[in-house]
Amino acid sequence: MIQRTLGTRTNAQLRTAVAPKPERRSGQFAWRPLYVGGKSKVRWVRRCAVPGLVLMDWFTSTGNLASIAGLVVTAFALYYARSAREAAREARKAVRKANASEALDRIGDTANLLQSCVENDLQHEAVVRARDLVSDVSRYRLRYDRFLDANSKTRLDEARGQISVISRSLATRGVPATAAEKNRLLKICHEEVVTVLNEESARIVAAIEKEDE
Amino acid sequence: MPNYEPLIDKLIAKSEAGTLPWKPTFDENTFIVALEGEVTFEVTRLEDGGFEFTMKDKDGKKIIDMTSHNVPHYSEEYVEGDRYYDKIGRLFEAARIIGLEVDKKLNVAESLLDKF
Repeated sequence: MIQRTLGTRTNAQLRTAVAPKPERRSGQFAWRPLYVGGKSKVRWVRRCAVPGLVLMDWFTSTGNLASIAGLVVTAFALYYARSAREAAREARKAVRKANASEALDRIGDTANLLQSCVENDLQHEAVVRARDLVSDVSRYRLRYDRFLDANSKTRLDEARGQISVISRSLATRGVPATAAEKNRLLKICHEEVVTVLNEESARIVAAIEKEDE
Repeated sequence: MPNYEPLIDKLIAKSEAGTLPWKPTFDENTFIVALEGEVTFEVTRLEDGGFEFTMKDKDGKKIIDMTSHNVPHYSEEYVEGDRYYDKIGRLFEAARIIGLEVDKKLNVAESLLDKF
């Protein structure tokens, strides 16, 4: 296209289009107006300019291709970065869920332990477990507050109250002496503490899993 | 000491109306009720005849911790909590009736007696 354009131009047009401005410089390689040389110089310029312009075209095309390749690479990089971020988020959620399950399982275990201490007349151990349980319930009640509805909170508060009374009674009076009293204690331990804590723990884990979905 | 009277009056009214779910504990003389996971009330009849009344917040911190005995106000042993003795006594009785389902059991007993 450039060649064709050059071909159709008149000498006068070429003089103005191709020839650099006259410049006064001393030395061997100083630029001079092309039209000074006449028609042969114009032909020479045409012979040099045309391959130069083809070379420019090639550079432009290569540059364009490089830009497209860069764009593709950037798109891939973005895609993989997003995948990595999602994977990291998933891993974080899994760890959080595992931690919650472990922590809530521990509450259930402590409650079961308290019950077995009472069953085996281990007064001091039972008092320690009861105190552990009171502080565990308080801690998890705060930690998982957003997963608990009013009913769950009420049940946990009642369970904490029951454990508190049991703890006080064990500390001051010891393990119940009569079978009837012991049965009553075990019944309260089972129904009002162990069952409630296990149920609410399972509910919290389910809520965490549901949130992840 | 802050004035606990309006709170205790309201608790008594609701308990006597049977709308508060008081629950028995291992200690036969202690009853507890938790409200909406915000506050927990506990009322205990002591062995010396006095009463203990506690209110805890959701973190388990004691907001009210009061012991009340039947001591006349002119006595040297009189403390501020003793002025609530009668009211906490009434509250304990209402809590006991709800917690042990006294009315229901009395009806069962009457029904059984009718059979004889």
